[in-house]
Amino acid sequence: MVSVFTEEHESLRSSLRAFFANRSPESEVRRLMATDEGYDRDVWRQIASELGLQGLIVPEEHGGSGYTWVELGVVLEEMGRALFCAPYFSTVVLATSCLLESGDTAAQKEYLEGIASGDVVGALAFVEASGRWDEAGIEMAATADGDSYRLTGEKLFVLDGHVADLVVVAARTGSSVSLFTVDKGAPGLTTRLTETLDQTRKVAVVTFENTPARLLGVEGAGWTTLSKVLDLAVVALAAEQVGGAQAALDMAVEYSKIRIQFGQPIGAFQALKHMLADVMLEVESARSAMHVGLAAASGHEGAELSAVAPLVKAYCSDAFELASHQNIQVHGGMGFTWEVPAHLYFKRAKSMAVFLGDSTQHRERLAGHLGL
Amino acid sequence: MDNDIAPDRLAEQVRDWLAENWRGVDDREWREKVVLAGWAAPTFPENAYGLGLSKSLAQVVGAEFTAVGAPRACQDLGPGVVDGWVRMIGLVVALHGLPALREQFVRDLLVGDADGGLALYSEPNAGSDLAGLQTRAVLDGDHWIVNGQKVWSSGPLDSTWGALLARTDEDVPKHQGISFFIVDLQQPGVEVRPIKQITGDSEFNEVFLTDVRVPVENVVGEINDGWAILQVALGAEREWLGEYLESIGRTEETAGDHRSALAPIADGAADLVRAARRAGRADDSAIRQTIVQLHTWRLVHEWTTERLSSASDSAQSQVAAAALGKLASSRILHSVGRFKAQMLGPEAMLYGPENRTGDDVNREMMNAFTNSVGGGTDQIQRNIISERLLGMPRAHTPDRGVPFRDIRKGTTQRNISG
Ligand SMILES: Cc1cc2nc3c(=O)[nH]c(=O)nc-3n(C[C@H](O)[C@H](O)[C@H](O)COP(=O)(O)OP(=O)(O)OC[C@H]3O[C@@H](n4cnc5c(N)ncnc54)[C@H](O)[C@@H]3O)c2cc1C
Repeated sequence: MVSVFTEEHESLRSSLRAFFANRSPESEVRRLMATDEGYDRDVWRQIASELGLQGLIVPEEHGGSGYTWVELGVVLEEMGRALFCAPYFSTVVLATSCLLESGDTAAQKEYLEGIASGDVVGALAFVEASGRWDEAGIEMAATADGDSYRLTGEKLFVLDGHVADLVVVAARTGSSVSLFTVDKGAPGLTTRLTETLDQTRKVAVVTFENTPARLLGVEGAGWTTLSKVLDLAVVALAAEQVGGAQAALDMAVEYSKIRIQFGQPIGAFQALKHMLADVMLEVESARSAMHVGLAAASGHEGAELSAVAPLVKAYCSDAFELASHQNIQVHGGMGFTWEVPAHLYFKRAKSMAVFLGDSTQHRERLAGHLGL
Repeated sequence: MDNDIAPDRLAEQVRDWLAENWRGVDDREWREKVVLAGWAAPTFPENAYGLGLSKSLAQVVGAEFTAVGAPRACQDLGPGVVDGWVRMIGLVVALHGLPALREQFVRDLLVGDADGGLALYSEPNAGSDLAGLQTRAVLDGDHWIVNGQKVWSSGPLDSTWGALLARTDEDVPKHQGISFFIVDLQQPGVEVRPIKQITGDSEFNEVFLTDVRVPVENVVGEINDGWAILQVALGAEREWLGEYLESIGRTEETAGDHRSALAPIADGAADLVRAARRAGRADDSAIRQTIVQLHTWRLVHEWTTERLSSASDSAQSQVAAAALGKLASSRILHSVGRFKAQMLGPEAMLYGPENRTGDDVNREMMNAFTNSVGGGTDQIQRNIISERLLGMPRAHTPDRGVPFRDIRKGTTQRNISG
């Protein structure tokens, strides 16, 4: 597997890096993470109108630019690096791919243009009290009500659920799973923000009380759609994780050059050198996995997405955890403070390690693919 | 040859050439033909029996040879032992050797007349700190006269040539007074003694050099510039070694691999899955986790090597590919060795020709140290990664900038072979 990124991708990367350095510096991240909304509406509109980021994978006929997951990967890597606070993952990765993968042209027509223009924030309500990220975890029932459906129940860990204009919901119709769309303000829909370890990423509890919902895609095909969306989502998450892991490694290396103890920079101590050499091996390995994942998500020839996705999730989660953990260790007491941003990466790494399923669960999935 | 050539065009040329020349016999005449046509080492320069092709184009050549079952192409890319010599020593002679040496040595190596060689780098007092080597070469007319002791030199006892590092100036700091030579080992004054190693085999040697003569045209690169030449050879060695060792552990297992629509992700784990099955532990979730972790390490290692060695900012990426790759290989080889021994249960207590399974698995387990110690230890790779790739500060070393004559040196006199 050689790099999936071309020179154009690298120039996209440098302009994004400059943009985030300017519009999402650490001070902005800290300001926004302390708010309930968790993002800046002006910047959200700006990344839509000036950079077209929300419409990146939206087809041109729906007001997007029809790019692939490779381009999206560049964007997410840079967002992960900057810890950019916005409902981007929930809207573009989760909600948009549910719309696209469902094949529901009416719903696509209704929502995608708004997503691309930055007017619609989306979310995916999937996990319930069991905390399971699989089909069996979906117990909430949808009851038919004429042409439409009604939902009652509670969904947890809904990324940006509190600011969503569109909530895609997974629920049971009979024994199988179907997907539904619910608009903000629908009767019986309430959202409650939960306090999170990673404050840069907001999570809500979303409750439905006899809430009217529209079927998305074909009844009973919800899990087929959702399992593909989840495979795409872990690859997208991996790009964010690689961006975050590289940022944590860079921070650790920088600090090791300026902190003086025993008459020399601490980076001259081999214990720290070898620790960070090992981190670099993991970050570069994770990056390779991410490349293979992005290629598979974009339908390039080679590995099958459903086989690559669990590998990518397990590897990139572990690598980000290690890099952000060792960054704190290198910083010593400073690493344990609120003031130094090492904890921001660490908390992102920790919460994303369990989001969408943890490493052991994904390795178990891969074990199945190996014929075990 | 032009690197802009389209892969299809190149493939066609190779096919035409094969149609005309390959008669199904791997004899001397065939080998010479392959070498003279440039197929034996397509990435080498054109004045050293190569075609100056990129690695990916060379692979096109290799694929055409493989397709018709013709051997000897692309020795500059292969994982075998002889390929290793081509990739390490053949490469530096091709790039930096004087014309006479280049034309003879590279040709002999590629044709197969020089496949027994020794890398004479390490010494009893110069291992990781190889630049501290004490073997001396002194100029006497048109020959260098060499005296000293080398150790851990891997290869046959009756090797015909050696790649030698020797000190040619003691009055400069240690890295600046070393030269790189190709030396004839079939001469008086060369004594090669086998060392019995951890596995019970003897694949490396101690070499004693007493007034050994090396013609001046056998210097590779400039006099006192041997350290730079060595870096090229070692970089190649680091990439080759992991490929070589991993290819041994997995070859007999590739047949009957679990192949599915999920390839290539699912390929290449058959040896691990089989070991677990034989042990009746394929349903044990801890074992399943281990297998997937090992398999994942193998895959990402391949991907990273490919990605970094094909990157355009080559110099830095090549260092990264070699050092990160070698470290990744160590982890894979040691962990796979340990896993297979575990899966064998009490049979892993056995060894020797009467206990084939125990012998194979334990040998694989022990040979993993070849990668983590040989060719620069894992610790040295981590030093390279942190200092040269991450740019972390260099450690304080008492011998920096001091003439070799004046630094503190080890004085161990070892005679391991007894
Ligand atoms: C199977 C095998 C085949 C070999 N084949 C060849 C060959 O063909 N030709 C040849 O010339 N050599 C060969 N070698 C030698 C090999 O290159 C050396 O063994 C290796 O470089 C280590 O040197 P040493 O054995 O002297 O160990 P030492 O340098 O004494 O190292 C001992 C320990 O100290 C650590 N250490 C040393 N310096 C540092 C440092 N700066 N920072 C941190 N840790 C450090 C090492 O990592 C190691 O753990 C071979 C070795 C093996 C095992």
